[in-house]
Amino acid sequence: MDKHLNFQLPNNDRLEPQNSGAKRPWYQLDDILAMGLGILIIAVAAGTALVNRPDNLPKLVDSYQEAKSQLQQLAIDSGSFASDRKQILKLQSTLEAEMSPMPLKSWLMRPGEWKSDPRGAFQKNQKSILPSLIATFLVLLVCFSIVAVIQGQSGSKFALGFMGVFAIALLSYVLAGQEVVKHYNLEYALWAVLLGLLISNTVGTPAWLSSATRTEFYIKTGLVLLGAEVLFNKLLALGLPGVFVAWVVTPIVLISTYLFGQYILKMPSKSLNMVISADMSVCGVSAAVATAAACRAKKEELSLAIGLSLIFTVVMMVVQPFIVKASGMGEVIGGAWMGGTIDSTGAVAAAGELVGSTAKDVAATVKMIQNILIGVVAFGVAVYWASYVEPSETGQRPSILEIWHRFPKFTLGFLGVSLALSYLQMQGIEGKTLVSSIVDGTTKSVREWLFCLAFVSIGLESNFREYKKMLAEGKPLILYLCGQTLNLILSFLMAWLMFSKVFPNAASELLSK
Amino acid sequence: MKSQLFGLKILFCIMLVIAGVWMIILPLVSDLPTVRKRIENNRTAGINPTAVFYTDHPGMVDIERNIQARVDSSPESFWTFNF
Repeated sequence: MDKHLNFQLPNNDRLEPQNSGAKRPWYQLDDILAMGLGILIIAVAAGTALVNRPDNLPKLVDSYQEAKSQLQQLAIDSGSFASDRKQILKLQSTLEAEMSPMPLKSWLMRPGEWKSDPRGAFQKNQKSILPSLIATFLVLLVCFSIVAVIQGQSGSKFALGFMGVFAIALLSYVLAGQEVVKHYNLEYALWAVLLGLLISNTVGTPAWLSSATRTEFYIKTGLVLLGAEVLFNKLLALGLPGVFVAWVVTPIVLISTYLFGQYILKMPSKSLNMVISADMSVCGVSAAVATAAACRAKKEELSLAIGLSLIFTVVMMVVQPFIVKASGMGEVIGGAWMGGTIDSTGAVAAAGELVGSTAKDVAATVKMIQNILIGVVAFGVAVYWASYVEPSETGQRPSILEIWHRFPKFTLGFLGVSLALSYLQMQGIEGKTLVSSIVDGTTKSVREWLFCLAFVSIGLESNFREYKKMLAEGKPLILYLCGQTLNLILSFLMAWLMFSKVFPNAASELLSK
Repeated sequence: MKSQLFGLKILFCIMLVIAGVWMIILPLVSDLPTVRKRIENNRTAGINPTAVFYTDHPGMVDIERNIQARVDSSPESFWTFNF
């Protein structure tokens, strides 16, 4: 049984009709359906946001522009900058919220934080979120049941299995919502995989549950939705120094780590090498998911890379702030260093906050710029894999048509959505608030659920023996450690060079009150 | 059938351990002063440490706005020149 993240070579022969030997028609292909479903969800989100826009929108836009000019004026007249700026920024925030209606947000939720009573996870502001969770379940059930029927599966069998997979995903969110677990960054991805593994390695995954373990489809649809959050105009959020720290160091570390894995460590699996390299150098879980889908990695390889990333993130988010403070490298350089090296945004912000508010802002912004890189990385890896890696395994030089055939088409949906929403975001405040309505109001929640369902499915389809085999010589761990060491060194050197030698005024500006 | 029953027993035992850890041990850990301080600091600063992507972090919009104001006030320092 092939366990690669590959739609043409599906892992689950109980579900995929093409395994019978017949080639599926285009409308049954997962890539096409994932793109269609992702774009449909974005269109529905945009439609509901447009219909619900406030009637006084032109007036709000004028007030926003006025606040923006006042902010620019304050920059020239630096007398009472700090307090006045805070007030105007607050006004801008209120205006943006008014211009960004999110009618679907309260219907697409996930369990929240709790301390000792897990029932607290199902309440928000002392109100039950159970109706929202039921609505979320129904929306996902309807969408995926339709896809299952289009692909020739039994809708009722899929629905039964989906109830089970959704219940495990819900439990993973509840485990991740316990306040200690949450504040030490042990994300839902870890619990989703572990719960799935627990079931598959004790009682075995029952057939009725297997009907809804659609890892590839959940991941690909989730990635198309993630495209809405990869906004290229955020690239210059911190000017040129931010680009150098996030977009120059990261590819160098990624390529160096991959080459080190191939030629020095001689990693037995190229896809495992690539997923660990991308996950460690770019931005953890989301980069691992995007790269794994682009290079058709095994499910176990993806979950192993995520596990490594989560463990090291917990360590780094505690240790790095102490190093920054003890070494006296300062909030700007320290923030840029942590932003460029700690894997997830939440952990970066938490580590930055331990140093200071400027460090937190710089660290989170560098991480945001680095997040945008996953669109380019996923596309680049998909092209490289289809053009060089897979052909080298067969020993034949591929034609353009063969490369196109091998190319994971969903990455085009991911990149297309990303470019379209980046363009929309650049259309002034109206475009920006529409993107905010789409992402914060709908697609982000759906994407989180899809990734969680995918991680549960990975666990349900995996075996502990596979992990034992991959970890046998400790190569994945050595690869991660060596790559992260290079990342730490290069990111520090670049942050120091940019903010103390090349752009010292940028650092002074960031530190000014 | 026998191994299935054994698996079920193992699963049940592990679920009991998970329930015990999450509902008894972790709440005690969260009351330790250093852990409590960390949790409260994150809450006060509006930080969600489990945010995977930048859009998952609730405070990101304010961070972006704050940084943008600083970059806009001195574009030449950041070499943005109103791109």
